Amino acid sequence: MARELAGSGTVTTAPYVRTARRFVIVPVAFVAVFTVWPTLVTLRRGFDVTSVLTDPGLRATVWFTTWQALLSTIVALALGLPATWVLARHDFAARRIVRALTLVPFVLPTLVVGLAFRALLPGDLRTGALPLVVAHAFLNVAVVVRIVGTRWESQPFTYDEAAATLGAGPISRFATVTWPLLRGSITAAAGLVFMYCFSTYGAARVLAGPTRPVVETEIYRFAVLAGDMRAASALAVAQVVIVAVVLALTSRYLSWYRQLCWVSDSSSPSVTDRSIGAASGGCCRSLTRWSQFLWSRAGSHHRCARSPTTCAAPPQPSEHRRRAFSRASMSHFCVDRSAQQAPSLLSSPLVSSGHRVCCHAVETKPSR
Amino acid sequence: MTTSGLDVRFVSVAIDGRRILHGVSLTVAQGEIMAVLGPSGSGKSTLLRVIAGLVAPTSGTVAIDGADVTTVPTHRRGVGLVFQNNQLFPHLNVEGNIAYGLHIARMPSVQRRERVSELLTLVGLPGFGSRDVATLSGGEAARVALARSLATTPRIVLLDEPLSGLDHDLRYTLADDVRRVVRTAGSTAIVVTHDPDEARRIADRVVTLAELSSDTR
Repeated sequence: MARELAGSGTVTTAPYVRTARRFVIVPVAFVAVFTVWPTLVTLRRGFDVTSVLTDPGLRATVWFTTWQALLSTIVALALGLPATWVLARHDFAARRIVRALTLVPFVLPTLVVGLAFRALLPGDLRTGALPLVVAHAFLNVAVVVRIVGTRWESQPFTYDEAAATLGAGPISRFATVTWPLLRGSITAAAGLVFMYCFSTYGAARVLAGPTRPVVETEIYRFAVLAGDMRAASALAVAQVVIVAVVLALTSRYLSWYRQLCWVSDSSSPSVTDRSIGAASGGCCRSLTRWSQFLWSRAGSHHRCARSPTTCAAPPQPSEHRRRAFSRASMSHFCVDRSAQQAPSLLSSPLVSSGHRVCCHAVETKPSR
Repeated sequence: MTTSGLDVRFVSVAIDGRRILHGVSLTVAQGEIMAVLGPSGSGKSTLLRVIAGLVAPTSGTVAIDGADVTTVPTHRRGVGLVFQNNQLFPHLNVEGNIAYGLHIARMPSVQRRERVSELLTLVGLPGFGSRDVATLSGGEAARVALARSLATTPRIVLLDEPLSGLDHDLRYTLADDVRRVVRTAGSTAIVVTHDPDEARRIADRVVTLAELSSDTR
């Protein structure tokens, strides 16, 4: 295959790349049979989305799932950020052990966590929104500590010190240096926590109670117990749409923020003017940049497999950081919480819920 | 004794039981540029960090313009520090970096912009305001870091190996520039380095850290 590249003439593909491409058919077929087909079937059945909008029962389910997920995300951040600060910014003997311990809730089966909360809480608090939110926050503190902590640890103390020598007190330093550098990772963590809390099954099964069903438990009830595939599919589609929108918003913000930080050519004049300018004018630009970014990720392997002329210029340092960062946050999409037995989404052939359908859509996009 | 300038007396620092500075004393007159020479790991950076208030001395005092500042926190000392690797803020462009201290001091944006362009001209980078700091060369980043420290007209400017990581020819051109810029700004300055040529080029007076230490056990 030959391709015309601007300014560099015609470049032919190396033979081994052509051979390798023939094997691409295997994963493509796998993905087609096990993910695209069930997705399409679900979508076709759930095409009657109006039932979610009109049926008060379904509407209540989606609404409850959304607000409990939002609330859980806020609580998880409120608990997780101080813990992250301690773990990322302080050195003490048991730091590694404590950090490992924060991951334990995330690794535990959600059903077990749900049962534990049920056993611990007093009678009238055993089911309902409150125990569910508390359990979700407990489960997802690990996500916050992991994602934000990695970023925070990599932020040198000298930025803080530089700000101090320039006259900034502790609060100003946090507002003008620490927070802007962490904001992207906090948003990314919030997006993931929302996704996990929205697609809850195990914990909700035990804690939400019969009066407060969430989307996934209702999907199970409709599809398996009641045999109402129409309602089940409609709920699945609603879940796909809501989670996809939230992930798109948070990752878009993330990418927009990253662009602002590291590859910006913006000429806004000062600290404050700049953030205001970016907030008002950055959104449209970010969409095109995000697509360019996805495209560059998608094409990176191909480009470097070709002749040296196309990859002569080494990637900019910012580009490296950008990729490494994005990979770190993307990799979390592979952690499948609702199906404890299947560790990776990509290796899971069973697509039974909208949650996983959605994750596929997100994960496969950049690594096309 | 009341003097203008910097007066460091018998400063010792021990971190985790390891003694780094041994009773260092030095005085720098108002407007003087002094160079402190010493091999790597001899505690030069620690001395600057003590003067800036980033490290508390185990014993000894630091006085600026006759006032004891040993316990004053960094952000109230009015001491500028140019870090070894510049440490420009990655989320701000060149102008944002230089204007940072002015922004903290709540200077109105019109004056802030004027001051930034004045400083950019002083360090020989006019028109660089909108550049992303990640795209700067080593020499350019060093100039921006110097401009950022001078922006708030600190009483003392400390330069920690300002020319490390630059190639040989650029070092000496920049050394002359650093001297010119600090002189023009009228600041009292201490530069620490391990390179005697660089020290002589920048400073009015060159001393070694060993000469300053009273207690070299």
